[in-house]
Amino acid sequence: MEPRTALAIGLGAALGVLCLVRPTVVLRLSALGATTSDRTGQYGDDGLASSRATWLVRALGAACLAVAAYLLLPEP
Amino acid sequence: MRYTGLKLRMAVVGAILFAFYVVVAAVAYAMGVPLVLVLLGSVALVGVQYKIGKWSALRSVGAEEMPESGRWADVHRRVESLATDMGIEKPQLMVADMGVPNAFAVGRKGASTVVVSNELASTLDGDELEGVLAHELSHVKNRDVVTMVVGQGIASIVGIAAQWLVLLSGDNDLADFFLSMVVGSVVQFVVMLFVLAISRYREYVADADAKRYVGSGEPLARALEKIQRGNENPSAGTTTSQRRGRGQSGPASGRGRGRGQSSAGVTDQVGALCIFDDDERSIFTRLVATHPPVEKRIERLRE
Repeated sequence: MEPRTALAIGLGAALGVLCLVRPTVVLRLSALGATTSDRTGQYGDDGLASSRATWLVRALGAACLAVAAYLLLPEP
Repeated sequence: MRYTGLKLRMAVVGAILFAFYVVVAAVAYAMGVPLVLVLLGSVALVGVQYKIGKWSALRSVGAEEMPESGRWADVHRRVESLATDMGIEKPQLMVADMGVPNAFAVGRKGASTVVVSNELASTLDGDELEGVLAHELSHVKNRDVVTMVVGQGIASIVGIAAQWLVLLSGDNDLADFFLSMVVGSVVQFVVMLFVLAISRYREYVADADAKRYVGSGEPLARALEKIQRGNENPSAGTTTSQRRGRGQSGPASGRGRGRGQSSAGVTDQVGALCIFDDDERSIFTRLVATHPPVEKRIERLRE
Protein backbone atom coordinates (compact mmCIF):
# COMPACT_ATOMS: atom_id res chain seq x y z
CA MET A 1 0.00 0.00 0.00
CA GLU A 2 1.27 3.45 -0.91
CA PRO A 3 2.16 5.75 2.00
CA ARG A 4 -0.34 8.40 0.85
CA THR A 5 -3.12 5.84 0.71
CA ALA A 6 -2.20 4.57 4.18
CA LEU A 7 -2.19 8.15 5.45
CA ALA A 8 -5.59 8.80 3.85
CA ILE A 9 -7.01 5.70 5.54
CA GLY A 10 -5.52 6.53 8.96
CA LEU A 11 -6.42 10.22 9.01
CA GLY A 12 -9.79 9.65 7.34
CA ALA A 13 -10.77 6.99 9.87
CA ALA A 14 -9.66 9.22 12.77
CA LEU A 15 -11.66 12.16 11.38
CA GLY A 16 -14.65 9.89 10.82
CA VAL A 17 -14.56 8.65 14.40
CA LEU A 18 -14.23 12.23 15.71
CA CYS A 19 -17.24 13.31 13.61
CA LEU A 20 -19.32 10.41 14.93
CA VAL A 21 -18.30 10.67 18.58
CA ARG A 22 -17.88 14.45 19.01
CA PRO A 23 -19.86 16.23 16.28
CA THR A 24 -20.12 19.40 18.34
CA VAL A 25 -16.33 19.60 18.61
CA VAL A 26 -16.03 19.30 14.82
CA LEU A 27 -18.61 22.06 14.36
CA ARG A 28 -16.78 24.29 16.85
CA LEU A 29 -13.52 23.76 14.95
CA SER A 30 -15.05 24.42 11.55
CA ALA A 31 -14.09 27.86 10.31
CA LEU A 32 -15.65 28.18 6.89
CA GLY A 33 -19.13 29.66 7.14
CA ALA A 34 -18.90 29.90 10.93
CA THR A 35 -20.85 32.71 12.58
CA THR A 36 -20.80 34.01 16.12
CA SER A 37 -21.36 31.10 18.49
CA ASP A 38 -22.83 33.48 21.06
CA ARG A 39 -26.20 33.54 19.32
CA THR A 40 -27.07 30.04 20.50
CA GLY A 41 -27.30 28.67 24.02
CA GLN A 42 -27.66 30.83 27.06
CA TYR A 43 -25.54 33.85 27.93
CA GLY A 44 -22.03 33.03 29.16
CA ASP A 45 -22.00 29.49 27.77
CA ASP A 46 -20.49 28.12 24.61
CA GLY A 47 -22.99 28.12 21.78
CA LEU A 48 -25.08 25.04 21.09
CA ALA A 49 -25.08 23.26 17.76
CA SER A 50 -28.40 22.45 16.14
CA SER A 51 -29.36 18.78 15.99
CA ARG A 52 -29.54 18.99 12.21
CA ALA A 53 -25.94 20.21 12.06
CA THR A 54 -24.70 17.49 14.42
CA TRP A 55 -26.46 14.78 12.40
CA LEU A 56 -24.94 16.19 9.22
CA VAL A 57 -21.47 15.97 10.78
CA ARG A 58 -22.18 12.39 11.91
CA ALA A 59 -23.23 11.54 8.35
CA LEU A 60 -19.97 13.02 7.06
CA GLY A 61 -18.11 10.97 9.68
CA ALA A 62 -19.83 7.80 8.47
CA ALA A 63 -18.92 8.74 4.89
CA CYS A 64 -15.27 9.24 5.94
CA LEU A 65 -15.22 5.78 7.54
CA ALA A 66 -16.84 4.27 4.47
CA VAL A 67 -14.25 5.79 2.12
CA ALA A 68 -11.41 4.74 4.45
CA ALA A 69 -12.80 1.18 4.50
CA TYR A 70 -13.10 1.18 0.69
CA LEU A 71 -9.48 2.28 0.33
CA LEU A 72 -8.48 -0.51 2.69
CA LEU A 73 -9.93 -3.14 0.35
CA PRO A 74 -7.28 -4.95 -1.72
CA GLU A 75 -7.14 -3.79 -5.33
CA PRO A 76 -8.42 -6.36 -7.82
CA MET B 1 -0.76 49.87 30.31
CA ARG B 2 -3.81 47.73 30.97
CA TYR B 3 -3.89 43.93 30.63
CA THR B 4 -0.19 43.63 29.75
CA GLY B 5 -0.13 39.86 30.27
CA LEU B 6 -3.22 39.31 28.18
CA LYS B 7 -1.97 41.55 25.40
CA LEU B 8 1.33 39.69 25.35
CA ARG B 9 -0.39 36.34 25.04
CA MET B 10 -2.76 37.72 22.42
CA ALA B 11 0.27 38.96 20.49
CA VAL B 12 1.89 35.51 20.63
CA VAL B 13 -1.24 33.69 19.44
CA GLY B 14 -1.88 36.41 16.84
CA ALA B 15 1.70 36.04 15.59
CA ILE B 16 1.22 32.26 15.27
CA LEU B 17 -1.96 32.82 13.25
CA PHE B 18 -0.19 35.38 11.06
CA ALA B 19 2.69 32.92 10.60
CA PHE B 20 0.23 30.30 9.32
CA TYR B 21 -1.04 32.84 6.82
CA VAL B 22 2.46 33.93 5.75
CA VAL B 23 3.44 30.31 5.08
CA VAL B 24 0.38 29.85 2.87
CA ALA B 25 1.01 33.13 1.05
CA ALA B 26 4.68 32.18 0.53
CA VAL B 27 3.75 28.74 -0.83
CA ALA B 28 1.14 30.28 -3.16
CA TYR B 29 3.70 32.85 -4.33
CA ALA B 30 6.29 30.12 -4.91
CA MET B 31 3.75 28.23 -7.01
CA GLY B 32 3.36 31.25 -9.26
CA VAL B 33 0.21 32.81 -7.81
CA PRO B 34 0.62 36.63 -7.76
CA LEU B 35 0.89 38.00 -4.22
CA VAL B 36 -1.78 40.63 -4.96
CA LEU B 37 -4.20 37.85 -5.89
CA VAL B 38 -3.43 36.02 -2.62
CA LEU B 39 -4.09 39.18 -0.61
CA LEU B 40 -7.25 40.12 -2.54
CA GLY B 41 -8.57 36.57 -2.24
CA SER B 42 -7.93 36.58 1.52
CA VAL B 43 -9.65 39.95 2.03
CA ALA B 44 -12.60 38.84 -0.12
CA LEU B 45 -13.00 35.59 1.85
CA VAL B 46 -12.89 37.38 5.21
CA GLY B 47 -15.23 40.11 3.92
CA VAL B 48 -17.79 37.61 2.65
CA GLN B 49 -17.55 35.61 5.88
CA TYR B 50 -18.09 38.80 7.92
CA LYS B 51 -21.13 39.92 5.89
CA ILE B 52 -22.74 36.49 5.81
CA GLY B 53 -21.96 35.94 9.50
CA LYS B 54 -23.67 39.15 10.62
CA TRP B 55 -26.69 38.63 8.37
CA SER B 56 -27.20 34.98 9.31
CA ALA B 57 -26.69 35.60 13.05
CA LEU B 58 -29.44 38.24 13.10
CA ARG B 59 -31.72 36.23 10.82
CA SER B 60 -31.29 32.96 12.71
CA VAL B 61 -32.67 34.44 15.93
CA GLY B 62 -35.36 36.55 14.23
CA ALA B 63 -34.00 39.78 15.72
CA GLU B 64 -36.21 42.86 15.51
CA GLU B 65 -35.54 46.53 16.17
CA MET B 66 -35.67 47.32 19.89
CA PRO B 67 -38.38 49.94 20.59
CA GLU B 68 -37.12 53.12 22.24
CA SER B 69 -40.13 53.36 24.49
CA GLY B 70 -41.65 51.32 27.29
CA ARG B 71 -39.50 48.71 29.04
CA TRP B 72 -36.68 49.18 26.52
CA ALA B 73 -36.23 52.93 27.07
CA ASP B 74 -33.94 52.30 30.04
CA VAL B 75 -31.83 49.86 27.99
CA HIS B 76 -31.37 52.47 25.25
CA ARG B 77 -30.41 55.08 27.83
CA ARG B 78 -27.86 52.81 29.54
CA VAL B 79 -26.33 51.67 26.24
CA GLU B 80 -26.03 55.26 25.04
CA SER B 81 -24.28 56.22 28.25
CA LEU B 82 -21.92 53.23 28.12
CA ALA B 83 -21.15 53.83 24.44
CA THR B 84 -20.28 57.46 25.17
CA ASP B 85 -17.99 56.41 28.03
CA MET B 86 -16.29 53.82 25.85
CA GLY B 87 -15.86 56.29 23.01
CA ILE B 88 -17.81 54.25 20.47
CA GLU B 89 -20.96 54.90 18.49
CA LYS B 90 -24.14 53.60 20.05
CA PRO B 91 -24.81 50.22 18.43
CA GLN B 92 -28.10 49.30 16.83
CA LEU B 93 -30.16 47.52 19.47
CA MET B 94 -32.31 44.55 18.59
CA VAL B 95 -34.48 42.17 20.54
CA ALA B 96 -35.34 38.53 19.87
CA ASP B 97 -37.15 35.56 21.37
CA MET B 98 -34.31 33.08 21.78
CA GLY B 99 -35.94 30.73 24.29
CA VAL B 100 -33.08 31.33 26.75
CA PRO B 101 -31.52 34.39 28.40
CA ASN B 102 -28.89 35.55 25.93
CA ALA B 103 -27.25 38.58 24.35
CA PHE B 104 -24.61 38.93 21.67
CA ALA B 105 -22.87 41.52 19.55
CA VAL B 106 -22.21 41.38 15.82
CA GLY B 107 -20.60 43.78 13.37
CA ARG B 108 -17.70 46.13 13.59
CA LYS B 109 -16.99 49.29 15.54
CA GLY B 110 -19.23 51.98 14.03
CA ALA B 111 -21.65 49.48 12.47
CA SER B 112 -22.41 47.09 15.27
CA THR B 113 -25.59 45.49 16.51
CA VAL B 114 -26.29 44.18 20.00
CA VAL B 115 -29.12 41.67 20.32
CA VAL B 116 -30.83 41.08 23.65
CA SER B 117 -33.26 38.23 24.20
CA ASN B 118 -36.63 38.94 25.79
CA GLU B 119 -35.84 36.15 28.25
CA LEU B 120 -32.67 37.94 29.38
CA ALA B 121 -34.50 41.22 29.88
CA SER B 122 -37.16 39.48 31.97
CA THR B 123 -34.58 37.61 34.03
CA LEU B 124 -32.19 40.39 35.01
CA ASP B 125 -32.68 43.64 36.85
CA GLY B 126 -31.53 46.93 35.34
CA ASP B 127 -28.00 46.89 36.79
CA GLU B 128 -27.39 43.26 35.85
CA LEU B 129 -28.57 43.89 32.30
CA GLU B 130 -26.26 46.90 32.16
CA GLY B 131 -23.36 44.63 33.16
CA VAL B 132 -24.20 42.28 30.30
CA LEU B 133 -24.58 45.15 27.84
CA ALA B 134 -21.25 46.64 28.98
CA HIS B 135 -19.62 43.26 28.26
CA GLU B 136 -21.14 43.18 24.76
CA LEU B 137 -20.16 46.79 24.07
CA SER B 138 -16.61 45.94 25.16
CA HIS B 139 -16.56 43.27 22.45
CA VAL B 140 -17.47 45.99 19.96
CA LYS B 141 -14.92 48.45 21.37
CA ASN B 142 -12.16 45.83 21.29
CA ARG B 143 -13.11 44.72 17.74
CA ASP B 144 -13.56 41.15 18.94
CA VAL B 145 -16.14 40.21 16.31
CA VAL B 146 -13.82 41.28 13.50
CA THR B 147 -10.86 39.59 15.21
CA MET B 148 -12.76 36.31 15.32
CA VAL B 149 -13.85 36.61 11.69
CA VAL B 150 -10.25 37.29 10.61
CA GLY B 151 -9.08 34.30 12.68
CA GLN B 152 -11.72 32.07 11.12
CA GLY B 153 -10.77 33.45 7.71
CA ILE B 154 -7.11 32.56 8.26
CA ALA B 155 -8.12 29.06 9.38
CA SER B 156 -10.23 28.66 6.22
CA ILE B 157 -7.45 29.93 3.95
CA VAL B 158 -4.81 27.69 5.55
CA GLY B 159 -7.16 24.69 5.36
CA ILE B 160 -7.99 25.31 1.69
CA ALA B 161 -4.30 25.83 0.86
CA ALA B 162 -3.33 22.57 2.59
CA GLN B 163 -6.10 20.79 0.69
CA TRP B 164 -4.87 22.06 -2.69
CA LEU B 165 -1.25 21.38 -1.82
CA VAL B 166 -2.05 17.72 -1.16
CA LEU B 167 -4.28 17.49 -4.21
CA LEU B 168 -1.76 19.03 -6.59
CA SER B 169 1.12 16.94 -5.31
CA GLY B 170 -0.72 13.63 -5.81
CA ASP B 171 -1.89 11.40 -8.64
CA ASN B 172 -5.49 12.62 -8.64
CA ASP B 173 -6.89 9.25 -7.66
CA LEU B 174 -9.56 8.64 -5.01
CA ALA B 175 -7.01 8.23 -2.19
CA ASP B 176 -5.38 11.59 -3.02
CA PHE B 177 -8.70 13.36 -3.27
CA PHE B 178 -9.80 11.91 0.08
CA LEU B 179 -6.45 12.70 1.68
CA SER B 180 -6.66 16.32 0.52
CA MET B 181 -10.11 16.74 2.05
CA VAL B 182 -9.05 15.18 5.34
CA VAL B 183 -5.74 17.08 5.59
CA GLY B 184 -7.52 20.35 4.75
CA SER B 185 -10.00 19.74 7.58
CA VAL B 186 -7.39 18.66 10.11
CA VAL B 187 -5.12 21.64 9.36
CA GLN B 188 -8.08 24.01 9.66
CA PHE B 189 -9.01 22.43 13.01
CA VAL B 190 -5.49 23.00 14.33
CA VAL B 191 -5.55 26.69 13.35
CA MET B 192 -9.01 27.05 14.88
CA LEU B 193 -7.65 25.89 18.24
CA PHE B 194 -5.60 29.11 18.31
CA VAL B 195 -8.60 31.18 17.22
CA LEU B 196 -10.68 29.70 20.06
CA ALA B 197 -7.88 30.49 22.51
CA ILE B 198 -8.14 34.12 21.37
CA SER B 199 -11.91 33.98 21.89
CA ARG B 200 -11.41 32.93 25.51
CA TYR B 201 -8.96 35.81 26.10
CA ARG B 202 -11.41 38.27 24.66
CA GLU B 203 -14.12 37.16 27.08
CA TYR B 204 -11.90 37.93 30.08
CA VAL B 205 -10.94 41.30 28.62
CA ALA B 206 -14.59 42.16 27.90
CA ASP B 207 -15.47 41.21 31.48
CA ALA B 208 -12.68 43.41 32.79
CA ASP B 209 -13.79 46.31 30.60
CA ALA B 210 -17.42 45.86 31.66
CA LYS B 211 -16.27 45.96 35.29
CA ARG B 212 -14.30 49.12 34.62
CA TYR B 213 -17.04 51.00 32.78
CA VAL B 214 -19.89 49.97 35.05
CA GLY B 215 -17.77 50.70 38.09
CA SER B 216 -18.14 47.22 39.58
CA GLY B 217 -18.00 43.63 38.42
CA GLU B 218 -20.82 42.67 40.74
CA PRO B 219 -23.80 43.30 38.37
CA LEU B 220 -22.31 41.13 35.61
CA ALA B 221 -21.26 38.49 38.15
CA ARG B 222 -24.80 38.40 39.53
CA ALA B 223 -26.22 38.19 36.02
CA LEU B 224 -23.98 35.24 35.13
CA GLU B 225 -24.82 33.53 38.39
CA LYS B 226 -28.53 34.08 37.95
CA ILE B 227 -28.51 32.74 34.40
CA GLN B 228 -26.46 29.71 35.42
CA ARG B 229 -28.84 28.91 38.25
CA GLY B 230 -31.89 29.05 36.06
CA ASN B 231 -32.66 32.50 37.48
CA GLU B 232 -35.46 31.47 39.80
CA ASN B 233 -34.43 33.42 42.89
CA PRO B 234 -32.66 36.73 42.22
CA SER B 235 -31.31 37.05 45.76
CA ALA B 236 -29.79 33.59 45.95
CA GLY B 237 -26.71 34.41 43.88
CA THR B 238 -24.41 35.47 46.66
CA THR B 239 -25.66 32.70 48.90
CA THR B 240 -24.80 30.12 46.29
CA SER B 241 -21.35 31.57 45.89
CA GLN B 242 -20.72 31.59 49.57
CA ARG B 243 -21.89 27.99 49.83
CA ARG B 244 -19.39 27.06 47.14
CA GLY B 245 -16.72 28.57 49.33
CA ARG B 246 -14.94 30.45 46.60
CA GLY B 247 -13.94 33.22 48.90
CA GLN B 248 -15.85 35.82 46.99
CA SER B 249 -16.59 39.11 48.54
CA GLY B 250 -20.12 40.37 48.78
CA PRO B 251 -21.61 42.88 46.42
CA ALA B 252 -19.10 45.54 45.57
CA SER B 253 -19.62 48.83 47.25
CA GLY B 254 -19.89 50.99 44.17
CA ARG B 255 -22.52 49.80 41.80
CA GLY B 256 -22.75 53.24 40.33
CA ARG B 257 -20.60 54.39 37.54
CA GLY B 258 -17.09 54.97 38.66
CA ARG B 259 -15.74 55.16 35.17
CA GLY B 260 -12.13 54.24 34.94
CA GLN B 261 -11.71 54.15 38.68
CA SER B 262 -11.18 50.46 39.22
CA SER B 263 -8.42 48.41 37.73
CA ALA B 264 -9.65 45.42 35.81
CA GLY B 265 -7.24 43.09 37.52
CA VAL B 266 -7.02 40.32 34.95
CA THR B 267 -3.52 41.11 33.74
CA ASP B 268 -1.48 38.28 35.12
CA GLN B 269 -4.23 36.01 36.25
CA VAL B 270 -5.19 34.37 33.02
CA GLY B 271 -3.48 31.05 32.37
CA ALA B 272 -1.38 30.42 29.31
CA LEU B 273 -3.69 30.15 26.30
CA CYS B 274 -6.58 30.11 28.81
CA ILE B 275 -6.33 26.32 28.74
CA PHE B 276 -4.55 25.61 31.99
CA ASP B 277 -6.57 28.22 33.79
CA ASP B 278 -7.81 26.35 36.87
CA ASP B 279 -10.44 25.05 34.50
CA GLU B 280 -12.03 21.86 35.76
CA ARG B 281 -13.47 20.83 32.41
CA SER B 282 -11.83 18.07 30.35
CA ILE B 283 -8.86 19.11 28.22
CA PHE B 284 -10.90 18.36 25.09
CA THR B 285 -13.77 20.61 26.16
CA ARG B 286 -11.35 23.30 27.30
CA LEU B 287 -9.50 23.37 23.99
CA VAL B 288 -12.63 23.96 21.92
CA ALA B 289 -14.46 26.25 24.36
CA THR B 290 -15.25 29.75 23.13
CA HIS B 291 -15.87 30.99 26.68
CA PRO B 292 -13.97 30.50 29.94
CA PRO B 293 -15.88 28.69 32.72
CA VAL B 294 -18.62 30.90 34.17
CA GLU B 295 -17.50 30.20 37.76
CA LYS B 296 -14.04 31.52 36.95
CA ARG B 297 -15.46 34.63 35.32
CA ILE B 298 -17.68 35.33 38.33
CA GLU B 299 -14.73 34.89 40.66
CA ARG B 300 -12.61 37.37 38.68
CA LEU B 301 -15.42 39.86 38.39
CA ARG B 302 -15.67 39.89 42.17
CA GLU B 303 -11.95 40.09 42.87
